[in-house]
Amino acid sequence: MEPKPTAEYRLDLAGAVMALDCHPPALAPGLASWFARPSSPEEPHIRLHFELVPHADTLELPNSLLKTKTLQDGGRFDIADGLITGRFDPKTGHGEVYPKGALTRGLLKRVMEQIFYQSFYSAARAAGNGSFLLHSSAVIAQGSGFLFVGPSEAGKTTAAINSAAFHVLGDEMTLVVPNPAGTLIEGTPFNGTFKQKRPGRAPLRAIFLLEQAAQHRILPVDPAEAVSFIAAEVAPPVGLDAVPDKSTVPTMVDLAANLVDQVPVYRLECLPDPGFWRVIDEHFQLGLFP
Amino acid sequence: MDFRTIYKHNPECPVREIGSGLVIMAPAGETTHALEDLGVFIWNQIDGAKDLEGVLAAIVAEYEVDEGTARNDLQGFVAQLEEAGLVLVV
Repeated sequence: MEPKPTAEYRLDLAGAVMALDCHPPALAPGLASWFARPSSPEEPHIRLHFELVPHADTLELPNSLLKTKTLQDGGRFDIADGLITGRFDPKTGHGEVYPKGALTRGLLKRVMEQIFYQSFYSAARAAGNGSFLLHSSAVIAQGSGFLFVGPSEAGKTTAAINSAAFHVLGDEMTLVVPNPAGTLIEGTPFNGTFKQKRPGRAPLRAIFLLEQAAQHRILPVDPAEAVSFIAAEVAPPVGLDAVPDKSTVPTMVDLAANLVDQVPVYRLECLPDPGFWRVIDEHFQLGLFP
Repeated sequence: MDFRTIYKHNPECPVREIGSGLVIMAPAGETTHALEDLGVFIWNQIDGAKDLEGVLAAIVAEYEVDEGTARNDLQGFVAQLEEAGLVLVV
């Protein structure tokens, strides 16, 4: 049988690089456009054959791809009864991913993005890279990185929109990059619908736990509460060849605990306007408003 | 709630000490619970040997609080721990 034509797209996330051999070939420039990132020139740590599966059935979307993932022999996985299937061998760093074609249409791309979280963790493991994904919006102001953390509807996108005067890394997922000189944050291309983001990386100065309120205020947070809050927003560090198990949540808590140990955490009560940057400026003496 | 009941920590719940607080992970592995100050004190009193009357006495001895208030608060707190699966009846 003739091999199917493919085109390569490489995605570099905090130095963990995945190469996607895409079929149909048009998927490669499609991903570049969705992610607003050209293919990376860096050598990949993992390589995936990434092939869309034609289908006629209507998709039933699960709330969580991870909760509906099962493993079979030979490193095979199945997510949501065939929604995305594949195989990955961590020893060789090679695998295959077969998402149903409808996942590339419109907002369903947001669902397909979740397979890239797992692909990232596989690539990060292969790269010996301790970075992780945190459900957050992220902004760089005066060279300092700030994370805004919260569950869905907490106001992450609003905070990102109201940070347009600064360098917005994203409103959905941020890479947290451990570094001997100090934790860094790096933007991800996830949530392709949010166009106001730009790639970048900066030292992490503070983390804000978002709370909608009637005024802008920065308040202290007990460390245990900060860890519990942040742990819930860590994208489970599960690779393509794995499913969540008893160690997953403790690992998420440990990642959050290490982060809270390195970086100050505050509660940020805020209105849906840019005024919170004045309280941040005052608190950190950034000189944003001369 | 019967204050002669003895509770113990659910051994299926991992615990992490964070500063002076604790983060306890629910047995289903999906939620985490942060405890500080009085919550940590009560958690440490739930030792599988002491009944809730004993826990209550420890609270009243340690904190400046009247027994009635402490009893109500303890009942509510233990109910939350039990509902979350963090403690079990011995």
